[in-house]
Amino acid sequence: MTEHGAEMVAYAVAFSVLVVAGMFLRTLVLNFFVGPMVVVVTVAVVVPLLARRRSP
Amino acid sequence: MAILLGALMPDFTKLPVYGLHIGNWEVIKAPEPWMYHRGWPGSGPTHSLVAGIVAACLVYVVTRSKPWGAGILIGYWSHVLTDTADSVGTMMFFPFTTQHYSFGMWQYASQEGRYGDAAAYFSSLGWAWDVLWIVLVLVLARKALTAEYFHTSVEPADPFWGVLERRFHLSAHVRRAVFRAYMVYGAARVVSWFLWARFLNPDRGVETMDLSWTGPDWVQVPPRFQVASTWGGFAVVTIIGIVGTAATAAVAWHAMKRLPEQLPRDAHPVVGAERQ
Repeated sequence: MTEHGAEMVAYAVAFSVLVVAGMFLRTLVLNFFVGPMVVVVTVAVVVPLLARRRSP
Repeated sequence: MAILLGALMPDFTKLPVYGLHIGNWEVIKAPEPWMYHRGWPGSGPTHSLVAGIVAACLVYVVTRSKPWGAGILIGYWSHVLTDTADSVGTMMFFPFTTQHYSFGMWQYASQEGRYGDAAAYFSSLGWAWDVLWIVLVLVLARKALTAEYFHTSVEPADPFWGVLERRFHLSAHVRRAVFRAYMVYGAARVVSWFLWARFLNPDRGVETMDLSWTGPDWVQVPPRFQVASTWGGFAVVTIIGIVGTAATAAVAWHAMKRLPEQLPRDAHPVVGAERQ
Protein backbone atom coordinates (compact mmCIF):
# COMPACT_ATOMS: atom_id res chain seq x y z
CA MET A 1 0.00 0.00 0.00
CA THR A 2 1.30 3.44 -0.90
CA GLU A 3 1.51 6.26 1.64
CA HIS A 4 -1.41 7.89 -0.15
CA GLY A 5 -3.43 4.69 0.21
CA ALA A 6 -2.53 4.40 3.89
CA GLU A 7 -3.65 7.99 4.46
CA MET A 8 -6.96 7.34 2.72
CA VAL A 9 -7.55 4.30 4.95
CA ALA A 10 -6.76 6.41 8.01
CA TYR A 11 -9.16 9.17 6.95
CA ALA A 12 -11.87 6.59 6.27
CA VAL A 13 -11.35 5.11 9.75
CA ALA A 14 -11.46 8.56 11.39
CA PHE A 15 -14.56 9.55 9.40
CA SER A 16 -16.35 6.33 10.37
CA VAL A 17 -15.42 6.69 14.04
CA LEU A 18 -16.69 10.27 14.09
CA VAL A 19 -19.95 9.37 12.35
CA VAL A 20 -20.77 6.43 14.64
CA ALA A 21 -19.59 8.17 17.82
CA GLY A 22 -21.44 11.33 16.83
CA MET A 23 -24.68 9.42 16.44
CA PHE A 24 -24.55 7.73 19.84
CA LEU A 25 -22.45 9.83 22.21
CA ARG A 26 -24.60 12.16 24.29
CA THR A 27 -21.75 14.29 25.61
CA LEU A 28 -19.91 17.30 24.29
CA VAL A 29 -16.71 15.32 23.85
CA LEU A 30 -16.74 15.52 20.06
CA ASN A 31 -16.33 19.28 20.16
CA PHE A 32 -14.52 21.60 17.78
CA PHE A 33 -11.16 20.70 19.30
CA VAL A 34 -11.40 17.02 20.20
CA GLY A 35 -13.25 16.05 17.01
CA PRO A 36 -10.54 17.24 14.59
CA MET A 37 -7.92 15.82 16.96
CA VAL A 38 -9.50 12.39 16.42
CA VAL A 39 -8.68 12.78 12.73
CA VAL A 40 -5.10 13.90 13.37
CA VAL A 41 -4.38 11.19 15.93
CA THR A 42 -5.93 8.49 13.76
CA VAL A 43 -3.79 9.49 10.77
CA ALA A 44 -0.68 9.80 12.96
CA VAL A 45 -1.20 6.27 14.33
CA VAL A 46 -2.65 4.36 11.39
CA VAL A 47 -0.34 5.55 8.58
CA PRO A 48 2.92 4.33 10.23
CA LEU A 49 1.19 1.06 11.21
CA LEU A 50 0.20 0.37 7.62
CA ALA A 51 3.63 1.44 6.40
CA ARG A 52 5.28 -1.03 8.80
CA ARG A 53 3.11 -3.85 7.46
CA ARG A 54 4.12 -2.84 3.96
CA SER A 55 7.87 -3.19 4.65
CA PRO A 56 8.58 -6.01 7.14
CA MET B 1 -5.45 27.91 9.69
CA ALA B 2 -6.15 31.60 10.30
CA ILE B 3 -9.30 31.38 8.16
CA LEU B 4 -10.49 28.44 10.24
CA LEU B 5 -9.85 30.22 13.55
CA GLY B 6 -11.50 33.36 12.22
CA ALA B 7 -14.57 31.36 11.23
CA LEU B 8 -14.83 29.97 14.78
CA MET B 9 -14.34 33.30 16.58
CA PRO B 10 -17.87 34.81 16.41
CA ASP B 11 -19.29 31.87 18.40
CA PHE B 12 -16.72 32.01 21.21
CA THR B 13 -19.45 33.55 23.36
CA LYS B 14 -22.00 30.86 22.48
CA LEU B 15 -21.79 28.71 25.63
CA PRO B 16 -24.79 30.36 27.40
CA VAL B 17 -26.95 29.85 24.29
CA TYR B 18 -27.46 26.15 25.05
CA GLY B 19 -26.34 26.53 28.64
CA LEU B 20 -23.82 24.67 30.74
CA HIS B 21 -25.22 22.00 33.03
CA ILE B 22 -23.41 19.90 35.61
CA GLY B 23 -25.85 17.19 36.64
CA ASN B 24 -29.05 19.00 37.49
CA TRP B 25 -27.19 22.22 38.20
CA GLU B 26 -27.63 24.84 35.51
CA VAL B 27 -24.37 26.77 35.69
CA ILE B 28 -25.17 29.30 32.99
CA LYS B 29 -28.02 29.72 30.51
CA ALA B 30 -29.24 32.68 28.50
CA PRO B 31 -32.97 33.27 29.19
CA GLU B 32 -33.51 34.33 25.58
CA PRO B 33 -30.95 32.43 23.51
CA TRP B 34 -31.78 34.19 20.24
CA MET B 35 -31.35 37.63 21.85
CA TYR B 36 -28.14 36.70 23.63
CA HIS B 37 -26.63 35.00 20.55
CA ARG B 38 -27.52 37.45 17.78
CA GLY B 39 -29.28 40.42 19.35
CA TRP B 40 -28.50 43.65 21.12
CA PRO B 41 -28.34 43.87 24.11
CA GLY B 42 -26.50 40.56 23.95
CA SER B 43 -23.44 39.15 22.24
CA GLY B 44 -24.92 39.82 18.79
CA PRO B 45 -22.18 42.36 17.97
CA THR B 46 -19.73 39.45 17.72
CA HIS B 47 -21.59 38.65 14.50
CA SER B 48 -20.72 41.91 12.78
CA LEU B 49 -18.22 42.90 10.10
CA VAL B 50 -16.62 45.48 12.39
CA ALA B 51 -15.95 42.79 15.01
CA GLY B 52 -14.09 40.88 12.29
CA ILE B 53 -11.95 43.95 11.56
CA VAL B 54 -11.15 44.31 15.27
CA ALA B 55 -10.24 40.63 15.58
CA ALA B 56 -8.02 40.78 12.48
CA CYS B 57 -6.25 43.90 13.78
CA LEU B 58 -5.61 42.32 17.18
CA VAL B 59 -4.16 39.21 15.56
CA TYR B 60 -2.02 41.33 13.24
CA VAL B 61 -0.74 43.44 16.16
CA VAL B 62 0.32 40.27 18.00
CA THR B 63 1.73 38.31 15.05
CA ARG B 64 2.62 41.02 12.49
CA SER B 65 1.70 38.35 9.96
CA LYS B 66 -0.30 39.65 7.00
CA PRO B 67 -1.54 36.15 6.03
CA TRP B 68 -2.86 35.70 9.58
CA GLY B 69 -4.51 39.11 9.72
CA ALA B 70 -6.15 38.56 6.34
CA GLY B 71 -7.06 34.96 7.19
CA ILE B 72 -8.79 35.93 10.42
CA LEU B 73 -10.76 38.62 8.57
CA ILE B 74 -11.86 36.25 5.76
CA GLY B 75 -12.88 33.50 8.19
CA TYR B 76 -14.67 35.87 10.55
CA TRP B 77 -16.61 37.57 7.76
CA SER B 78 -17.55 34.22 6.23
CA HIS B 79 -19.25 33.28 9.53
CA VAL B 80 -21.03 36.64 9.80
CA LEU B 81 -22.27 36.43 6.20
CA THR B 82 -23.36 32.77 6.24
CA ASP B 83 -25.27 33.23 9.50
CA THR B 84 -27.54 35.63 7.61
CA ALA B 85 -29.01 32.52 5.97
CA ASP B 86 -31.18 31.61 8.99
CA SER B 87 -34.35 33.35 10.19
CA VAL B 88 -32.71 35.56 12.85
CA GLY B 89 -29.70 36.61 10.82
CA THR B 90 -26.94 38.92 12.01
CA MET B 91 -26.47 42.59 12.82
CA MET B 92 -23.92 42.74 10.05
CA PHE B 93 -23.33 46.50 10.24
CA PHE B 94 -23.35 46.92 14.02
CA PRO B 95 -22.59 49.42 15.64
CA PHE B 96 -23.88 51.64 12.83
CA THR B 97 -27.27 49.96 12.81
CA THR B 98 -28.99 47.16 14.75
CA GLN B 99 -30.81 46.09 11.59
CA HIS B 100 -30.82 42.28 11.27
CA TYR B 101 -29.94 40.88 7.85
CA SER B 102 -31.57 37.53 7.21
CA PHE B 103 -32.39 35.39 4.17
CA GLY B 104 -34.54 33.08 6.32
CA MET B 105 -33.59 29.89 4.52
CA TRP B 106 -34.10 27.90 7.71
CA GLN B 107 -35.57 28.59 11.14
CA TYR B 108 -33.20 29.71 13.91
CA ALA B 109 -33.66 27.11 16.64
CA SER B 110 -31.13 27.42 19.46
CA GLN B 111 -34.11 28.08 21.78
CA GLU B 112 -34.97 24.38 21.29
CA GLY B 113 -31.79 23.36 23.13
CA ARG B 114 -28.72 21.65 21.70
CA TYR B 115 -30.54 18.59 20.37
CA GLY B 116 -33.66 20.44 19.31
CA ASP B 117 -31.44 22.85 17.38
CA ALA B 118 -29.60 19.94 15.77
CA ALA B 119 -32.87 18.20 14.91
CA ALA B 120 -34.21 21.42 13.35
CA TYR B 121 -31.08 22.33 11.43
CA PHE B 122 -30.51 18.85 10.04
CA SER B 123 -34.18 18.57 9.05
CA SER B 124 -34.17 21.83 7.11
CA LEU B 125 -32.48 23.61 4.23
CA GLY B 126 -29.59 24.15 6.64
CA TRP B 127 -28.69 20.52 6.14
CA ALA B 128 -29.01 20.87 2.38
CA TRP B 129 -26.80 23.98 2.59
CA ASP B 130 -24.08 21.99 4.40
CA VAL B 131 -24.29 19.15 1.90
CA LEU B 132 -24.05 21.64 -0.97
CA TRP B 133 -20.77 23.06 0.35
CA ILE B 134 -19.28 19.61 0.92
CA VAL B 135 -20.22 18.59 -2.63
CA LEU B 136 -18.81 21.85 -4.03
CA VAL B 137 -15.49 21.22 -2.28
CA LEU B 138 -15.30 17.62 -3.45
CA VAL B 139 -16.34 18.39 -7.04
CA LEU B 140 -14.88 21.84 -7.74
CA ALA B 141 -12.11 22.27 -5.19
CA ARG B 142 -10.84 18.73 -4.67
CA LYS B 143 -7.36 19.95 -5.59
CA ALA B 144 -7.30 22.06 -2.43
CA LEU B 145 -7.25 18.86 -0.36
CA THR B 146 -4.35 17.22 -2.22
CA ALA B 147 -0.89 16.79 -0.74
CA GLU B 148 0.66 18.67 -3.66
CA TYR B 149 -1.55 21.73 -3.12
CA PHE B 150 -0.87 21.70 0.61
CA HIS B 151 2.92 21.52 0.21
CA THR B 152 3.24 23.92 -2.72
CA SER B 153 0.56 26.53 -1.95
CA VAL B 154 -0.61 26.36 1.66
CA GLU B 155 2.57 25.64 3.61
CA PRO B 156 4.74 28.33 1.98
CA ALA B 157 2.05 30.98 2.55
CA ASP B 158 1.29 30.30 6.22
CA PRO B 159 4.01 30.39 8.92
CA PHE B 160 1.86 28.19 11.16
CA TRP B 161 2.90 25.05 9.27
CA GLY B 162 6.57 25.87 9.69
CA VAL B 163 5.98 26.00 13.45
CA LEU B 164 4.41 22.55 13.38
CA GLU B 165 7.35 21.17 11.42
CA ARG B 166 10.30 22.82 13.16
CA ARG B 167 9.07 23.24 16.71
CA PHE B 168 6.78 20.23 17.09
CA HIS B 169 8.55 17.98 14.56
CA LEU B 170 5.30 16.85 12.96
CA SER B 171 5.88 14.76 9.87
CA ALA B 172 4.36 15.67 6.50
CA HIS B 173 1.42 13.24 6.72
CA VAL B 174 0.46 14.55 10.19
CA ARG B 175 0.65 18.17 9.01
CA ARG B 176 -1.59 17.23 6.10
CA ALA B 177 -3.96 15.63 8.61
CA VAL B 178 -4.10 18.87 10.61
CA PHE B 179 -4.87 20.71 7.36
CA ARG B 180 -7.66 18.31 6.38
CA ALA B 181 -8.99 17.56 9.87
CA TYR B 182 -11.81 20.09 9.88
CA MET B 183 -13.05 18.98 6.48
CA VAL B 184 -13.25 15.36 7.64
CA TYR B 185 -14.70 16.34 11.03
CA GLY B 186 -17.26 18.69 9.50
CA ALA B 187 -18.42 16.17 6.89
CA ALA B 188 -18.68 13.44 9.56
CA ARG B 189 -20.75 15.73 11.79
CA VAL B 190 -23.16 16.50 8.96
CA VAL B 191 -23.65 12.78 8.34
CA SER B 192 -23.92 11.78 12.01
CA TRP B 193 -26.30 14.58 13.01
CA PHE B 194 -28.48 13.87 9.98
CA LEU B 195 -28.62 10.13 10.79
CA TRP B 196 -29.36 10.93 14.44
CA ALA B 197 -32.13 13.39 13.53
CA ARG B 198 -33.79 10.95 11.13
CA PHE B 199 -33.29 7.58 12.86
CA LEU B 200 -32.37 8.02 16.55
CA ASN B 201 -34.01 11.25 17.69
CA PRO B 202 -36.76 10.13 20.13
CA ASP B 203 -38.94 13.02 18.88
CA ARG B 204 -38.43 12.27 15.18
CA GLY B 205 -42.15 11.57 14.78
CA VAL B 206 -42.83 15.26 15.50
CA GLU B 207 -39.52 16.79 14.45
CA THR B 208 -39.90 15.79 10.83
CA MET B 209 -37.93 16.69 7.72
CA ASP B 210 -39.08 20.02 6.28
CA LEU B 211 -37.15 21.42 3.34
CA SER B 212 -39.50 24.37 2.85
CA TRP B 213 -38.14 27.95 3.02
CA THR B 214 -37.73 28.99 6.71
CA GLY B 215 -38.56 25.45 7.79
CA PRO B 216 -39.00 23.40 9.80
CA ASP B 217 -42.44 24.58 10.86
CA TRP B 218 -42.39 22.70 14.19
CA VAL B 219 -39.78 25.06 15.71
CA GLN B 220 -40.86 27.67 18.26
CA VAL B 221 -40.38 30.86 16.24
CA PRO B 222 -38.27 33.55 17.97
CA PRO B 223 -39.70 37.10 18.07
CA ARG B 224 -38.94 39.33 15.12
CA PHE B 225 -35.84 41.44 15.50
CA GLN B 226 -35.45 44.98 14.30
CA VAL B 227 -36.07 45.20 10.61
CA ALA B 228 -36.82 48.37 8.72
CA SER B 229 -40.55 48.79 8.09
CA THR B 230 -40.05 50.16 4.58
CA TRP B 231 -37.62 49.46 1.76
CA GLY B 232 -36.54 53.10 1.94
CA GLY B 233 -35.69 52.75 5.61
CA PHE B 234 -33.86 49.54 4.89
CA ALA B 235 -31.81 51.23 2.18
CA VAL B 236 -30.90 54.15 4.46
CA VAL B 237 -29.67 52.02 7.39
CA THR B 238 -27.85 49.71 4.99
CA ILE B 239 -26.02 52.58 3.31
CA ILE B 240 -25.11 53.98 6.75
CA GLY B 241 -23.86 50.53 7.73
CA ILE B 242 -21.81 50.06 4.57
CA VAL B 243 -20.23 53.52 4.81
CA GLY B 244 -19.49 53.13 8.53
CA THR B 245 -17.98 49.68 8.09
CA ALA B 246 -15.91 50.82 5.11
CA ALA B 247 -14.63 53.83 7.10
CA THR B 248 -13.72 51.54 10.01
CA ALA B 249 -11.86 49.24 7.64
CA ALA B 250 -9.98 52.20 6.12
CA VAL B 251 -8.96 53.55 9.54
CA ALA B 252 -7.86 50.08 10.65
CA TRP B 253 -5.90 49.57 7.43
CA HIS B 254 -3.97 52.81 7.86
CA ALA B 255 -3.36 52.13 11.55
CA MET B 256 -1.96 48.67 10.77
CA LYS B 257 0.23 50.06 7.98
CA ARG B 258 1.87 52.40 10.49
CA LEU B 259 2.97 49.51 12.67
CA PRO B 260 6.52 48.26 12.09
CA GLU B 261 6.45 44.97 10.16
CA GLN B 262 8.85 43.30 12.56
CA LEU B 263 8.12 42.59 16.20
CA PRO B 264 10.56 43.84 18.84
CA ARG B 265 13.47 41.42 19.34
CA ASP B 266 12.26 40.31 22.77
CA ALA B 267 8.75 39.44 21.52
CA HIS B 268 8.43 35.86 20.34
CA PRO B 269 4.83 34.87 19.78
CA VAL B 270 4.45 31.43 18.29
CA VAL B 271 3.53 32.57 14.83
CA GLY B 272 5.59 35.72 14.61
CA ALA B 273 8.79 34.00 15.71
CA GLU B 274 8.64 31.67 12.73
CA ARG B 275 7.86 34.33 10.19
CA GLN B 276 10.11 34.06 7.16
